[in-house]
Amino acid sequence: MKPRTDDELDQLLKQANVPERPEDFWEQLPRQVTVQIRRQSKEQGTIVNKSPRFDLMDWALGMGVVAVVCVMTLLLQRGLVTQLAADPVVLAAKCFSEAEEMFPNQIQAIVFDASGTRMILSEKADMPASPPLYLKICGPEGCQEVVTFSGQQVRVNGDVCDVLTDAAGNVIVAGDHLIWSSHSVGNKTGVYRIEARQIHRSS
Amino acid sequence: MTSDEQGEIKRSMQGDHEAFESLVRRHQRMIYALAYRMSGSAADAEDLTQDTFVRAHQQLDSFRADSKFSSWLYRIAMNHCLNWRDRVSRRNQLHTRWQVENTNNNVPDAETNPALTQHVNDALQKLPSKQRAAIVLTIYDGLSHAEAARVLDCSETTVSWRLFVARRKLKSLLRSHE
Repeated sequence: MKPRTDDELDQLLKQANVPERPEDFWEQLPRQVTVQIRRQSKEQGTIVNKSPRFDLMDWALGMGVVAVVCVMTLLLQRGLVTQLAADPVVLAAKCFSEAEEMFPNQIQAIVFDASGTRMILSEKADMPASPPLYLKICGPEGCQEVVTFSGQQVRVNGDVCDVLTDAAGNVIVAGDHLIWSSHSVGNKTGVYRIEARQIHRSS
Repeated sequence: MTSDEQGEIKRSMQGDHEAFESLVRRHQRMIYALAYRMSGSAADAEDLTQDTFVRAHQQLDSFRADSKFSSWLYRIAMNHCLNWRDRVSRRNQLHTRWQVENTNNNVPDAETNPALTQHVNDALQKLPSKQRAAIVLTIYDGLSHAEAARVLDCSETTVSWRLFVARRKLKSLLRSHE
């Protein structure tokens, strides 16, 4: 049957049944669910039950971060980090640190290009706490610098590319027409030049 | 929602695992069917179904009794399937490019599916995940556009548009079937 109308299509689609599962599958699934729930509850219990000593450390760390941000702000205002700011990676890392203070676990990417600086945020604070990555992609249209994370995507000449890291910390940029790795194996980037590295969170 | 189900929900919130197992039994086939149509794989559908119920248990406190439990479950299941799909898509692209042998098990279960079912399943898997979601919710699960919009957390117009585009693609894909 070759569907021409919506009704014909719907009829055809409904003929595709979900494969049957054996009865014991349905009998076991509820128990498997509760086993997993119990297991997760046990694991979460070991994290939740923190001693007061760890609470104090968390507070101290938090105050430390605030102190660093304040110092950085003061130094900036007094122009004492202009030398650091000349290094684009340091500048990007600093910009990321300040942005993360305002939007913890929400930043998907910060883009620096000819049209200015743009921040792309997740709707919820659910971004993983993986190391941020600095990318610089230069082509015929100019250069674009991005701070992003493994698992996000960037656009190169209209091509959507995945940004990934491997276990060794090498950065990989992979699209339909482009493959690049920071350890330079099998790179196919055409007219584009790419630099990338992990950067450290605020310190 | 029946009074039995309301009772099961209330007892589940109080930590009664047997009550939650009853809820699972009540909705497991519906969620499995949704997961299968979204993933195209029986093995992945099993994992997605189990994960959905575990997540539902974790979020039970957020369930409002003025809405249908099945709709609330749908939403959890669909979000999980959509996020899963994005992760698999990125992983599969990388495997292809680096010519690593891809041992992923997302191939539909062709041995038990007749040819037509397989073809329809293949066509569905070629749709972008949000278009597939619109098809699954409205055509297979019988939700209205408004109900599907609530599950997908988008406007009714968006659901209508995704359905329109999805139907057009499916007609084209399925017309090529001999």
